[in-house]
Amino acid sequence: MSYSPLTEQLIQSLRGLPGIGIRSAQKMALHLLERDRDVAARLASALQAALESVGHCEHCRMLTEQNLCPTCADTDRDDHMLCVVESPADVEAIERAGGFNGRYFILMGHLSPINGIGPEDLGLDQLRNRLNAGGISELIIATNPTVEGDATAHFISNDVRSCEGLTVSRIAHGIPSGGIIEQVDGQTLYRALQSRAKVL
Amino acid sequence: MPLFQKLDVDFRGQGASHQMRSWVPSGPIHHLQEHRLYFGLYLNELITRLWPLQGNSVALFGLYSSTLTLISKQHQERAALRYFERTLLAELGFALEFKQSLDGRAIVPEGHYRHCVGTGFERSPVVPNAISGEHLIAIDRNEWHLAGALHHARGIFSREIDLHLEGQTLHTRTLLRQVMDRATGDLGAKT
Ligand SMILES: [Zn+2]
Repeated sequence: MSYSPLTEQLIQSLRGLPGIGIRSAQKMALHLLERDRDVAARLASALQAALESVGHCEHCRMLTEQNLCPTCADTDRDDHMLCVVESPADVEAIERAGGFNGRYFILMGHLSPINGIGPEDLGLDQLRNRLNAGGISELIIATNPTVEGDATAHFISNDVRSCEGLTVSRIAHGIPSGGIIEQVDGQTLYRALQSRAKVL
Repeated sequence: MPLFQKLDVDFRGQGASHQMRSWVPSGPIHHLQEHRLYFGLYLNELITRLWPLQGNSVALFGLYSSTLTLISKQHQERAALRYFERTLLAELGFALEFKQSLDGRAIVPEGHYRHCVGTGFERSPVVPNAISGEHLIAIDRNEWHLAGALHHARGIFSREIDLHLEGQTLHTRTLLRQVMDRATGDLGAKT
């Protein structure tokens, strides 16, 4: 079946989204055009407005309409600690958990050579500049415990090696609170044993 | 989906439109740490860029798995990478002839050769970029104790790989170069 040129263009645009195959893209396009043109119009104008106004926070790379995002603009936070995360959702999770009152740096991804994502795509030059500007004494790397997250963490720790007086750590990985050891997957258990903490 | 672990994968459909239905781990995880992670990612990228999507090879899978084991155990990692590259090229049908030069004569230890990318080795006078027959024989026999054998193998296989990449970028290679440039020297294990 062939679609009209503009319908086809919409389908191909939707296919550019992560995890969207041809069938899903066709389904979404037909839904927007056939069933719900109000939603389609709202989506189009929200997308247009966001593209025009949303940029990256100058300090942490969070998406924001201002120069600085609310977290970076908050003067009550500890400027000596910087936590590196992969995504804005990670910032939300850490904020929800409490216990960290420092600053953030958001990579907006992780190293993924197969997908062509290298250090330059993660703003690592910006991170180095921020560390070189001084004032930060502890860097906490909170990338995900995946192969790509590990590679990213290793790359960053290597990269900032020359920053004098900087403590670099990575968040611990292991068994979740309330978890049962025999039900934990091998990779997690391996990591838990690797990053065991001394009790005596 | 975990990397560097053998999985049993259930696919639905056939041909180009097949979709993954589910997967379960079916083997141990190769725990790669520090720079060895990049080596693992390099193997994955080589396969992704060069190996056909629907292709399968029990031999290559076995080699992939054993190469990951060698890398994770820090056992002759560079030699393991070179052997993997050579075998991948051979499995793709681009095996290099290390026993004879392009004129059909046997490669001899005292001879010198020039690498002709995509075709093989031709006899050469002793010039700066010439490779000694001794080195070619060592690479062919997978004997890596000869100084310079790994260096030459790296050059030969990377030129061959570049040819078959047909312009695609090998991002892990760039990444490894950056890591080595920035490390203060403890990364002796170049690819
Ligand atoms: Zn910010």
